[in-house]
Amino acid sequence: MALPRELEATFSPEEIEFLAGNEYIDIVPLETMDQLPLVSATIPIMKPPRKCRVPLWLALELKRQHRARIVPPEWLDLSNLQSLQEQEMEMDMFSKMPFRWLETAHLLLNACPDDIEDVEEVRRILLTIREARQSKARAGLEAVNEVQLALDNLGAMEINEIRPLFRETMNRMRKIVQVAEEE
Amino acid sequence: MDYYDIDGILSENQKVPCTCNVSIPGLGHEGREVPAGSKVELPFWLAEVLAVNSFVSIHMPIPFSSVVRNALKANPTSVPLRDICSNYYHFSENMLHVISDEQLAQLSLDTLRKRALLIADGALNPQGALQQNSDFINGLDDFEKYLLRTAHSTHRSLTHWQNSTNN
Repeated sequence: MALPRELEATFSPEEIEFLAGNEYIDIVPLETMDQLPLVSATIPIMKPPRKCRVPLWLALELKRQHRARIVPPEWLDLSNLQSLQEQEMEMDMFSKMPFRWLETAHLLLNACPDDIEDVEEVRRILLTIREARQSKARAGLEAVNEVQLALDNLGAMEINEIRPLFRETMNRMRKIVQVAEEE
Repeated sequence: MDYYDIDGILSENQKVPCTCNVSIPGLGHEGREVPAGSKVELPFWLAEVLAVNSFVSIHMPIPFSSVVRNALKANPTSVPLRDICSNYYHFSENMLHVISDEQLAQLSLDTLRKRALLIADGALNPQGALQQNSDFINGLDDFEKYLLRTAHSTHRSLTHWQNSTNN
């Protein structure tokens, strides 16, 4: 399929963000809402103040319509992020962040900053963690060879970011080695 | 798929020095015969076909001479690959078809690895890289320029997305 040049090598960030919308998240509805029979799952009747587990895209839409409040996921609270940040600084490996952490955090911080405690602090910590991981990924480039490269615990958006460079380099290396081994 | 690859086709245009084992009609100037034993510089696509049938012997071309090899071993990031060969890695892949040279393969890998690090840095900040490291950036061969371009555009779209607030 013919894609525009920027999309040939990797997904766009918007596409990865879209995929993250399918993860489930808790909301607190502000008004009673009927059952929603959707293709993948039926959203049950929502009655305040009982919490309800819905896909993220629906949660964002309800929040936009002021019909619900979003409950931030467990990993997005200040003390947890602080310990994750410490881990990130100490270890050479990547700390165990949720797979879609970057895009989920981005969506939530934009849509419902009022539902998150200490929003500014959370934003700052996330930025620090992101920079630390970015420099680790760049260091990982030194270890690249034609066979394999193990970078555990990378998030979806981070993988998407390094995919073109790493893949093309490894491909080129693989071709050279393949030819050399044939002789 | 590789047959139609433009970079592959372009890289095969690189000239390599050969010695004719037999006299070859039609190869010389205005179609004259080239006597056996004479040295000619042929484009790789022609040299490979003739070498397979042992009509010519291919010698080590300049990009793989010991001078260049030592320079690459010592400091891969300061060698202007573009001046030596416009598509170095593709050309080494081609040459390794006809010449078996384990060291050349390893050298190409190490060169690529070290230069890819600087390319990754340059992708994050091309303006700064151009100012400080312009010799390196200007000396990148075609494949490395492609790496730089894609890495930079990925990074730029990610930064643009991160700074956007869609509410």
